[in-house]
Amino acid sequence: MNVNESPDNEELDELPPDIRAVLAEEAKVEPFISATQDEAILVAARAELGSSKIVVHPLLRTGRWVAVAAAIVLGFVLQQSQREQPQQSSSEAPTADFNRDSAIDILDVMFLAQRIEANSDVPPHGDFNQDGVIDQTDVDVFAANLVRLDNPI
Amino acid sequence: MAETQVQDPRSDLELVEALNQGDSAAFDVLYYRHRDWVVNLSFRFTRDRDASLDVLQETFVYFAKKFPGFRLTAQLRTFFYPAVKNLSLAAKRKAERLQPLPEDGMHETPAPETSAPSQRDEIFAALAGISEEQREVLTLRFIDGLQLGEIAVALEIPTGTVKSRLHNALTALRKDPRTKKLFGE
Repeated sequence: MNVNESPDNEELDELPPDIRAVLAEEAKVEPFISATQDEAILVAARAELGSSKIVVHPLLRTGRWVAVAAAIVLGFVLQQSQREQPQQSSSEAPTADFNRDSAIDILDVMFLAQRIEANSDVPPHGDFNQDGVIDQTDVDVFAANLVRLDNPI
Repeated sequence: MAETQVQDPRSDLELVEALNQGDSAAFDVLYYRHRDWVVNLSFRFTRDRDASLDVLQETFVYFAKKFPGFRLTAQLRTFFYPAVKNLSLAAKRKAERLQPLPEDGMHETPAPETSAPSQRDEIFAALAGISEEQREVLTLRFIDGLQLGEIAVALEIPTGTVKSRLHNALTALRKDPRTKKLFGE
């Protein structure tokens, strides 16, 4: 077709019913999905719902080397910056310093995540979203705030 | 159960918004609403039921990964189309690689039927005579009911190309002696 030709939409809406029927027949199959297959597919898909939440989340859950490397780098950067700031008194330990190493860093996020995953004692100050429950969402909020250096915990 | 979910009065857009708000039940509604279309579409490419089921699962897993934060800007089917097509073609290629080579004589064309072809056979043959790209556009337009702009989004091609393919497909069918009379010309 010539580029300058511009068929109008009406012309493009004409397909005789007999041709339509054969085209439909060629394109469609009888439904063949069982309820069990539906459920299996939905279970697999539901497991992925919300996985686009926060980039830090899967790293923390899987504990891959990337998370470890990020923790080391972040820890080093935060330590360096804290050295330049006046030290807090020991009686005023930071609330989010869960591993008590005098620094709030990615190691505290991992500490909180591990406690939640293991269903063991969670730190009392871990309710970052203040919904009364300390769970994975708090880990996400904590991690998100931590990596956003302009808004530290 | 599935029927009830398909009858949910909310539009796809409203269901997507509900999903973004954390209403995971909305996902099931969307699944049952579009499941058959996705399987049908996949079957068009694979001609294999098991492969189509795999594609169905992979498509909805891919879709689930988009939440929260997914924004629906066109028909949901235009979002699904490229995913289903690509997954189906990949599944087909994989199946072809795994298929053993035909032995001598196994790929011979069947002997032609002696009885006169029916009108359906003639239409089928005429449709087989147009290109795959043209048939794809015809199906999306007349069977799936997509608008030209939506087809362009689904196929990731300009609207002008959609019009051109549709025009060429219809012209070919109008000229084909087997389908010419059906256009009343």
